[in-house]
Amino acid sequence: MSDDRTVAGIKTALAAQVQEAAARYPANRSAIMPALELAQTKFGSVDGTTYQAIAELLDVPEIWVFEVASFYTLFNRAEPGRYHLRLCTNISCMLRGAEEMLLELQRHLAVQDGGTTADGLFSLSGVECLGACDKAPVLMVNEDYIEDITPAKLEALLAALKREAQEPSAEEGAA
Amino acid sequence: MSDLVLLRSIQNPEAPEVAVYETTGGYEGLRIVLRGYAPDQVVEAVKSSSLRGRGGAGFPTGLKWSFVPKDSGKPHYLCCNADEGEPGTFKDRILMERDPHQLIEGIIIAAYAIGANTAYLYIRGEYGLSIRRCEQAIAEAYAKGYLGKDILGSGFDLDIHIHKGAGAYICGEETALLESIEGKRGQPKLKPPFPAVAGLYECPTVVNNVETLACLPHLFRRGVEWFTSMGPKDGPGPKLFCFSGHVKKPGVYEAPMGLPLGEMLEVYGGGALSGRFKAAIPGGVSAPMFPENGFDVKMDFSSLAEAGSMLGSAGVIGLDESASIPRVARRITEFFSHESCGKCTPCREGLTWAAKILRRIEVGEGSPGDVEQLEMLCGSIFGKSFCALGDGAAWSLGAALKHFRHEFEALIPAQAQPVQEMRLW
Amino acid sequence: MVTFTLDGRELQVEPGTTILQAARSASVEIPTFCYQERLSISASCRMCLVEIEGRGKLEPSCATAVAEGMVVHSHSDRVVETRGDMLEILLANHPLDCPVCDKGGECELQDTVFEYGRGSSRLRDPKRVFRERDIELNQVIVFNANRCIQCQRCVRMCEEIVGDVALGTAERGLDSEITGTGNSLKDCSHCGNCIEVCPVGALMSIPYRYKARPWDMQKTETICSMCGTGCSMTVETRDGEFKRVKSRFDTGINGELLCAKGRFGFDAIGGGTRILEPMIRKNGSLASASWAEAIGLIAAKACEAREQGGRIQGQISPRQTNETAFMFQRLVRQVFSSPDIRSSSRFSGLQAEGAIEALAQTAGGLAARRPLESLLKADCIFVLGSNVTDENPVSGYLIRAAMADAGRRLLVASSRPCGLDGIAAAQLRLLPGREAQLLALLTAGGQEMEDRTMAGFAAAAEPVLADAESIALLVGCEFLRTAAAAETLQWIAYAVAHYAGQGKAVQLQFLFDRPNQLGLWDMGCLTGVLPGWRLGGGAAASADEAPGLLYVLGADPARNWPDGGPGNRGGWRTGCLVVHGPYMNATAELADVLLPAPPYGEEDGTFTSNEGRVQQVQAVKTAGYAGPVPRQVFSQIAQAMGEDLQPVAVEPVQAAIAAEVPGFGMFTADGAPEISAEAVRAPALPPLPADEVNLGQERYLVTGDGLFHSGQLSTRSECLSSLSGGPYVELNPGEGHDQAAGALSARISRKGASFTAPLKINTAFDDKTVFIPECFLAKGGSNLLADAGYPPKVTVEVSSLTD
Repeated sequence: MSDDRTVAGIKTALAAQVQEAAARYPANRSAIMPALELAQTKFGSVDGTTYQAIAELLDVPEIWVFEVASFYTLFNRAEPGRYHLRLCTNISCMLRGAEEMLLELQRHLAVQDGGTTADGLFSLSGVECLGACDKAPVLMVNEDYIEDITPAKLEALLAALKREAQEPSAEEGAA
Repeated sequence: MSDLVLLRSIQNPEAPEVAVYETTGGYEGLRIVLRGYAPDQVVEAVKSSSLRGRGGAGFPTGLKWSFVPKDSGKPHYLCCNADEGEPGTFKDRILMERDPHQLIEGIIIAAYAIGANTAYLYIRGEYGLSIRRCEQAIAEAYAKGYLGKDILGSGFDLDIHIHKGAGAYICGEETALLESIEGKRGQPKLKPPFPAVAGLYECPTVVNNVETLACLPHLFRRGVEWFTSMGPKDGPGPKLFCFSGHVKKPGVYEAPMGLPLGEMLEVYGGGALSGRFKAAIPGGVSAPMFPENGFDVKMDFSSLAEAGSMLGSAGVIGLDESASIPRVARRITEFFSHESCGKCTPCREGLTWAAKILRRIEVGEGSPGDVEQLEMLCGSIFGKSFCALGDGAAWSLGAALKHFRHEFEALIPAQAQPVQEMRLW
Repeated sequence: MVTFTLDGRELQVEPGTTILQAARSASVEIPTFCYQERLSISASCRMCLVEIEGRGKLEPSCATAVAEGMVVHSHSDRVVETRGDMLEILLANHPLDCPVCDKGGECELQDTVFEYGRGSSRLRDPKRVFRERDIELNQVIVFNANRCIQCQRCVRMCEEIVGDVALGTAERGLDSEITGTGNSLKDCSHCGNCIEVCPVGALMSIPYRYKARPWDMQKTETICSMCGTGCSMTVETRDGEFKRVKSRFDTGINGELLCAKGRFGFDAIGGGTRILEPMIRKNGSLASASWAEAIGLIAAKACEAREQGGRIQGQISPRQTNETAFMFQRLVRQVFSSPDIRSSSRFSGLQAEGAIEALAQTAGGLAARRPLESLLKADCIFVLGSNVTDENPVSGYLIRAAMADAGRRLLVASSRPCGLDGIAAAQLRLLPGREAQLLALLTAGGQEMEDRTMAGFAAAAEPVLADAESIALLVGCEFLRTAAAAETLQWIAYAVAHYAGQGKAVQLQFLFDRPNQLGLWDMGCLTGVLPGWRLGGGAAASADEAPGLLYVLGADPARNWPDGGPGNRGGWRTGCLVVHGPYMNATAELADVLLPAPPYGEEDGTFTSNEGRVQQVQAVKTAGYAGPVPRQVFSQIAQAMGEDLQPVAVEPVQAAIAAEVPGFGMFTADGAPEISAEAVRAPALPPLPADEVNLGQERYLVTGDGLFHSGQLSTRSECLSSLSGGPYVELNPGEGHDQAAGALSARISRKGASFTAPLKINTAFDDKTVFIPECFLAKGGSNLLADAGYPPKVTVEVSSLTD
């Protein structure tokens, strides 16, 4: 996978998908959100270079792209860890111990809310309602929901993720 | 469970497949509509069904549709609000994950009614499974001729596109949702003009909630009379309730409207997690909470409104005796402050300030006068913010202060100095 | 009319009027922050909430239309309480650093708190602080986020009126912050209108930073001298020293709007090399002389030239006032007995046969002049041959603002990319001199060139023109430099008559790039045109004949004299070159007699704007030299020649002008009728230029002012010079030259002359054109224009700067 994060590189990588997204709307500006998501899927995060590339692909002012990227919380404007842990701390999860669990995670990983561990393995964010209040507390690990979190379940999960990270992945093994 | 409507297939893991959906009467409602109804007649039928929006505001759906001008000369749009984010609410996710065709069919019927050839399904970005299921369902619907050109030979064309949200509660507000589809920051727009006249791309637009649209296939398959026979006259039909927080059986349940809150907490929620209930929030955190002595309120649109709260998203959150109301209020206020779009002064500035005071009270750094300060802030926000976000925040905080003032005051150290009024000049 | 009650008073207003508008017109004050006339309604600050009987909630008066029978309370307890609440929570996070804030004394937050605030607060928790240090968003705009109250006026101004979309909002909620991408304002045209509309000290001017307090400054109302739009501005000085330029919403054609040149270019009055005393060329070099000696010499040379039947020519800068211009033409015509007077050496096209008559027909006619505001209400606005957003930026803003309310009704045909292209129903890159071609195509079935772009434009423009019941034609002046000037003017006149003949209301206005071009012509500073556009006064001598005496007032024609042309040294050394002006320049270097004059900013008088409005120009500082001003000098020259030339003072001169120029200073908003259909015969179809589909390395060189340029004037402004940067060449190199590929340079050459500068790629240019700002061509590139028709064909070579 190429990781050319120059303006030209990003444009080349995204042009076809961004045009496809833009075709779904009568105005190019509407494709800013989809384009940012495509960029994030491809590169893990978005930054000034991404905004410029998207602005050029869609022929919209660059500030529009930045405005959108900074308004919505799901766009990573800093490189996240390999595992992005998003723990819901909103009321239904809070009532079932989520705030204590967030503190425990901070201690365990030695990061602040919103931070990434020094080894780049984990990013931790306390987030608002994830819409799984019946399975509270709920944690998102990257795209996946882990429900009915307990301290024991959490400990096992972190251990499993760390193990997984140490195993050479298929790609790396091949290389 | 045979009398379930919206959740009739909830236990069937194959329900998301179009073939399975069709075996349970799926797309019959659409066939009936396309065969027998002119768009106006669809609007009339929905009006006479008294269907009210399931997103939070409870606005009559047929009436909303009827505001769409007939000859605007512009394209019309239908937008489905699947940006479910009201804490304590997860019904739309369940509907999309478990029975996506029910929603797709509803979207097609609604789009037909308002003359829209394009519909956008705005799903919050966190709902990965919902997005995948809906994408799959849309693809199947195209393959089956329920979407695309000349649907079922009716001459009606419709394309549905999914627009993924990216983490902003405010986009559940209908005008903010439209701004978001237009590729802007999700800030509410001035009304009037209302979306029905000038919505998406300044064109006539209807925004409906997932559950609202999911009612439509059944309404047309089984008839208006069947629909109005369920629940209260001024807002009938099947209804989903979400139970979470300090309840023994959290989950989403389909139940008739009009049952008392206390009874529902026992029957569906399974009772308090520990000890007794102290309070409950009836319809997501924007809805003011009821203390236990108010649990006889009936869970329908008008009874809750009369009692000073609202059915909202019908996200019922139980709070048992172990709950600290100041902490609950702090967390709810922090949520609203975090999700404030920043457009209007009272919501942007006032909520953050209220959260600061609540945090202080919670850790024992409150002062006499802080509760009054919070009440003043609620007064500055309620009825004065640009959209319902600020109103809901101030309304719910106000109720916590009203019913549980003693809990806030108890956290303020006895020896603390009262807040001094600071002269600015 | 709608009748409603406001605070117990019954008022009648037009339907659609908002409560706020109604209140303001009834002198009822309702405080606002986010509201700004001209901008879209935000209704977000919640300061203007009012109580409407029968409605539970307070409503924003800025966004609520008055309804029949409505009863509104704008000062009820509930309303007053709410204003106090809003201010209390705004101030809770505001740094209250007024003593060190540039806005102190003119801050809307300060004033509103003074008027409506409670004066006390119990909100005592720590304030939100974005950062300790301010951010310089660019060279002229500095931002303090802590003071910002999120009214979003700046963002709306930048997008809706200026059209830059440089400013935006980052983050959300309480973290919302005005910014550009990466804390810099990409695509910013540096107009500073965001600063002007900022109600607090959040957006501030870097040149003015910590320079003065508003109450310490003397304010002078004057008119900008950068272009012909004629913007009003307030020049503020302290102890005679220039501090800043401000604009006010309720003043002038521009209101609160100015462009970068107007707002940041006034420091030009302190730049340049001033001529401080009379000088006479002796033994080949200029030496100090007394006024009497210099005036005597001019008089003697003029008598000599007159007696020997030699030619005397007057050239006056379109930056001179009407009063001086009027007396100058009297000096030339009555004292020097010469008909030969010019007011823009660039407009060589006016010397063609028939040009003056056609000019009088289109630009004359004082009675037909109407405010731009009235033109902008037309159903179709056609900007023809004008690079309006570069040369008359505020006119461009006003056009954009007028377009906000209605669909696509703008047509743009210009030689350079135009900032309005994006909102135009049709746009075309059109070489100067081809305007007649386009008009012929639109109105008389003229022929189309092979590249078909004109036909594409016409196809898109025709339905807009056909549907329009009213048309405003805004015509630039670049074509006056071309050989096609006369026929273009004739076709403009024909087009006006053609559309008027179809029953449409047609209005015409020229967009001049100099502040008093129209005024000078009104005053008769044009051969063949007497004051008030009376044709006559004799013809100029043959262009080949060198003048016996050339009197140059304020201008610098030497820059436009091609080598070997009528102005060559040999030509007028035999006679006498008088240069009378404030600054040393290329012409002054060659002068035989040099006289100082006050520059703009040091004298009073009037300019006539492109609209035709005669506006007061005022001195903001005392004269920079000792001696008579030009009108006194003219009088003294006359006296030395045994003639009497009066008057001299402003008022009597204005009276004299009024006597000869009917309608002078009588311009009113609705005084004149639209142009009616007169029988104008279609001129002969313009000849088709040769096929130019493939120009190879050749392009047409166009010049003029960029966003930070106004001829030589802007080069005297330090601020504009730094914004503009060094010389550059702008063109569209076509495929294969990605801007990101690295810095490129372009060499432009023609007949042995050449000009090399960094290349700016602008893909909105066509492939026929290359642009170099005039002020840069003046240094080393003017030979490219010499002895050629405009625009000249040049050879372009692009190379990498790193090669």
